[in-house]
Amino acid sequence: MLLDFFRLSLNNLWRHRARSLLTALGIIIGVAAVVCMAGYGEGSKRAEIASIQALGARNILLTSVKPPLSSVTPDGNEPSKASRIAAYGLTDLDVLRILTPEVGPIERAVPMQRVGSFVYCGPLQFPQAQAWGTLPELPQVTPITLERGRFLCDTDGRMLKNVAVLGDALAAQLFPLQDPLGGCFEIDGQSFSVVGVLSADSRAAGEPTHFAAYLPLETARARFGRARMDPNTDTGDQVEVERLIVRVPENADPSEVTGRIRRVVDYAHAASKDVDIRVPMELIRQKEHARRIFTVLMVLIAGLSLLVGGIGIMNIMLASVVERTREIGVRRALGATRRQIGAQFLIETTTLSGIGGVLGVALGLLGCGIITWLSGKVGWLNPAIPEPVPVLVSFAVSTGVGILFGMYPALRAAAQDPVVALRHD
Amino acid sequence: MYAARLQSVTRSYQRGTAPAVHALRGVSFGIPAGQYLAIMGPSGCGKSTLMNLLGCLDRPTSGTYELHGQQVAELDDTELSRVRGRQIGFVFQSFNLIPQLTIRENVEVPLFYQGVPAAARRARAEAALRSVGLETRLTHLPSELSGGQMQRTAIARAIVTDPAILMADEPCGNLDSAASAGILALFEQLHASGRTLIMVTHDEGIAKRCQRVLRLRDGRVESDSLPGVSHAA
Repeated sequence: MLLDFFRLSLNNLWRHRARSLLTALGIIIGVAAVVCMAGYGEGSKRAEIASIQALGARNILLTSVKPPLSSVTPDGNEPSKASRIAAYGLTDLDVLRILTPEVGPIERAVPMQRVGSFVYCGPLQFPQAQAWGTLPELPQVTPITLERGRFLCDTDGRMLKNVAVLGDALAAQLFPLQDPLGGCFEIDGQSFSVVGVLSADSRAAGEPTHFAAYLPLETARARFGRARMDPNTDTGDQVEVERLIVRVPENADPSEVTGRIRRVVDYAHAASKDVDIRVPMELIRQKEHARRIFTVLMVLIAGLSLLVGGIGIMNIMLASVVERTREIGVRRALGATRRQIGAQFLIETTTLSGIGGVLGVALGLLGCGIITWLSGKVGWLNPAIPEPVPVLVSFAVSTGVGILFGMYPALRAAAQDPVVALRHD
Repeated sequence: MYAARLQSVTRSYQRGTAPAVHALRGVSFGIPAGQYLAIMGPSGCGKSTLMNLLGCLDRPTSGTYELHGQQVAELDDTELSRVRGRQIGFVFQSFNLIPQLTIRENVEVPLFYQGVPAAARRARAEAALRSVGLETRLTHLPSELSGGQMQRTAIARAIVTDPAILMADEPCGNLDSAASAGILALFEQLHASGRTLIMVTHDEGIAKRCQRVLRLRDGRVESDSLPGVSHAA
């Protein structure tokens, strides 16, 4: 019987297919919008989390930030060379404080120190190159892999060896025609020999390492001192520890450790605000929170559009009930009960909105495909990844809307008095 | 044995505060099974109301209506629908075919509401259409048929459930004389096969061919005559 009603509904809808399509258009567009938005939200979330995870989910990143600096001293004189060097940021003392047991479980803390101004190979200068002093443990806190050779080792630092590990692009630029391993180049007049080359997908503190040169921290401090001059502005920065990557053990909560680190750092830096602390895990949580708000908003908007679509369907079905009043009368005279008349209209509305839902999902998936295709062409667009749950939910909601808004027209149809309905023109 | 029996049946309509309209003011008569009855009377005499009552589309305000021994007043809306579907076949003046359904689908409609499976519906609808001579028009839409053919379809739809009583409301009112003759011949054939036929008509010529003529005036039976006794089977 139910199947018969369903077939009858399909029959009726097909006979008025243009009208049916227009009636369902609201639902179709609503569902397609939900599927596209949910897909794009999911794709954006995945892209963001991937970029945050490159920073390391168990990491805490401390960065020294240069406070705003006036070029003229308060007495109006040209600043002396000493005053043109800004001292700020994390100090070795801060690092020692952070590493005390009271701060909490810390698996490893690796500083990164920017050194040197000019990188030469023979007569050629390489302005893109960035030299960093760091510890041999850097690959353990950040996704660095070696293409060739080795990374720094303890002996390099202890012996103050002038060795360097290069990023892939810098190695290729410095030594285009020869094997970079064992090759020599200069940083501010100091000669360094290459012991390793990193792979292209290596990242340190979230940044690609293409143009980085990593030196032993002790060597770097011994050769270049703590101040680094900017050759263009003739100003300098004096920073003891430019970056500190702290990794907490697997069973510790990075947020708790961060809270204590923040207190230790604030002890010396609360006023100057020259230390920035970033926690990738917290960023992920913030993203997920923002994402939840987005989802709630999306559901509201989707609900609104489906509501509008449902009202549209109800409107047309009410008109259809009036238009088919005589048919209702005839069917009642031929033995249809109120329940059967109501069921016929309800099933017709539900079928219409269900088909609208299917078409909407199809359109939405097509939209996701187009967005994903476009995201491969332009950089600022994320791919849209349709998840099964929102797709099924939007389809179910559209069908539910059909049942909800089909109810009233169905009741109106069922309530028709057969005698009156038969007289209707 | 009576197919239908009315005893002091009244039907009044009350709309808002306006004085009640008394469409039927106490009608009593019985229709023996297998009778061919014509109901006549000027417009406003209560013919339509009487037909609606006899056809179980409506219930009397007072009095009793007994259909095949069953008190109609005691039935609820769903049971009335069942009675209409199984015991009564309707033929209307304006045919009342469902325009978007084919001829065969129109004839299937009463069976549909009885829950007859699709294959059986189809077979019975085709048999009914064959008996009214429309077996070649199964997949046509009503709009593609002549008035006579549409009324034949309506008759096929009325007899497809094999009801005991056929009710026809001015069945020839919208037809030319040739088509009317065909329809009346079909009715006589159905009557001959033992069905009870109740027909509302204005046409004295048609009434004369019936076994019995009931004349209504102002909601009462004015006369009850048996002109066509010769026709009695």
